[in-house]
Amino acid sequence: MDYTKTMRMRSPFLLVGAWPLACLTALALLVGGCVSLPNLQGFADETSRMSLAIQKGYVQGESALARVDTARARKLKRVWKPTQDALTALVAYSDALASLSNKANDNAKGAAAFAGKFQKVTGYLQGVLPLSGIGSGEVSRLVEIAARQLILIKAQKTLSAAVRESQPVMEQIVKIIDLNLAELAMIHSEVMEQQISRNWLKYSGISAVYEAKMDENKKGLNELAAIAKYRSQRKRAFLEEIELMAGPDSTLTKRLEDRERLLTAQTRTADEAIKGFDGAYKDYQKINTDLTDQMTQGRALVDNGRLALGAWIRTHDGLSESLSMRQSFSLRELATVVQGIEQVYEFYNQGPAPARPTNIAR
Amino acid sequence: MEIKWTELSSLNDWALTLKRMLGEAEKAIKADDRTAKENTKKLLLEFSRRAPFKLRETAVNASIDLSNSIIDDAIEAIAGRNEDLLKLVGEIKDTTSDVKNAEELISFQVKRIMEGLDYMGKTVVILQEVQKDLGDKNADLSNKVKSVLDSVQQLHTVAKSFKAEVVNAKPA
Repeated sequence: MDYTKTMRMRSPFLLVGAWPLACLTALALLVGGCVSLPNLQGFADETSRMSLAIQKGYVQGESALARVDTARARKLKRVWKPTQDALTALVAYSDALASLSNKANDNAKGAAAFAGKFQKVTGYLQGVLPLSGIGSGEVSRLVEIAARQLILIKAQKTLSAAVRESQPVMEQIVKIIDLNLAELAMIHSEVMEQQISRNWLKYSGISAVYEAKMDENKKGLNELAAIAKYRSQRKRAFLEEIELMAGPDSTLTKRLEDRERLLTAQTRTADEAIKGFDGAYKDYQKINTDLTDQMTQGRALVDNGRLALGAWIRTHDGLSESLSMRQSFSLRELATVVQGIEQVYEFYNQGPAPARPTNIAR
Repeated sequence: MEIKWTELSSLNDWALTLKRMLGEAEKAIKADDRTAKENTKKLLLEFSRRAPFKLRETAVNASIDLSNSIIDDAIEAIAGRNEDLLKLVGEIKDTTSDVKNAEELISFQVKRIMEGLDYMGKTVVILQEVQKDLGDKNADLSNKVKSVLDSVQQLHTVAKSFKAEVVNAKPA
């Protein structure tokens, strides 16, 4: 009995071993064009930067509230947590998409090693079981194409379904975060306005006197300068300027002298008053400027955060289309808006501002 | 509420106007009317800038009360959306898990294919030995054939799952 022949005919290897190869060949031929996955790492990175930037805007608002009302700040922190969780979930989601895409691309690159291993096996096989018409090199190439396509197709199917199915959920999440950011902007504005009003009330007496004295001083000095010019040039225009119109020359000279004495005394008194209030008035102005800057920064951070969310959801929608149509997608809008928030933050943190929060990087 | 600022001259005029404004503020808070609160607060702040010194503090404090009420409204509005938000976040977390699982599955499948190839290689080596042994009618023949069948069986399992993958994998 020819056992070799019997074994060859009955061996499940012959039945099983042939069709995976056939399937690989069929798949490689069926797929034809290469499936390629977009690099999603950029999308994941921009999502993370956006989340961080929005969180900075929130911290700004919470810190401002905590300075005037700790109980309300605690309450805000508590109710904000789901919004923060939502931002974290967006980051985790985009990281997972990028990770799957990276892994699939890496595995597809590793398909050559896989095919090499297969070639070794088919080399053995041809010694035992002749594979008519197909050389081991050709088998290896088919296996490489099939393996790469299999990995990429599976990843693409998963990514495409995940992005497409999550788009409506993402739209709702983004809408809620956007509404919450609008509330945050309102809270921040209210807090800053309260502080500006309190500051104004505290210094309103001083600032009113100071500004009146400054005005008085300025007018007095202008008049004195006009008198001096008249004396040196005797021009009618200067008289009009100091509101001392015609009359006999001797009377005019006397009136000018009286006026000059009065103005000199007044400006000296005003000067002293100004010096007395100078420190307090400058404090008032500095605090007012700082508070106004913070209000502008808070508003800009939140407004840019809302713009970034809009850009993010449009980019996500573009990604969904890109995965299903196998087209490239653009990150430009999202990257630009996120960079805008970071610039606002950097800009306002360059100058000295003692009242600003120092614990931004939570 | 309309105020003709230029018509307010005596302290009494200003005081009566402030009283009207405080009444409006109270109504806005009771009615929980955010727009009315904001409008009255703006009027009070303008009043505090224009009014005689004595009345300023009352106006500023009333505006701060309204402002705090507006902050409370904003916090409540955020809280009111939290239930929906958490539900949506749960859905995204599920999708994220699915994507992570798919990543693990792809890694597992690649590993399985590699294992399948290893089994196939081992099987071939054993088959070569069997061929040789069959010629000599070796006494260990039955054991070796059993080994071959075990290996091929394992290969069969792997090949079956691989076939299913190949058949099911179609571009999205």
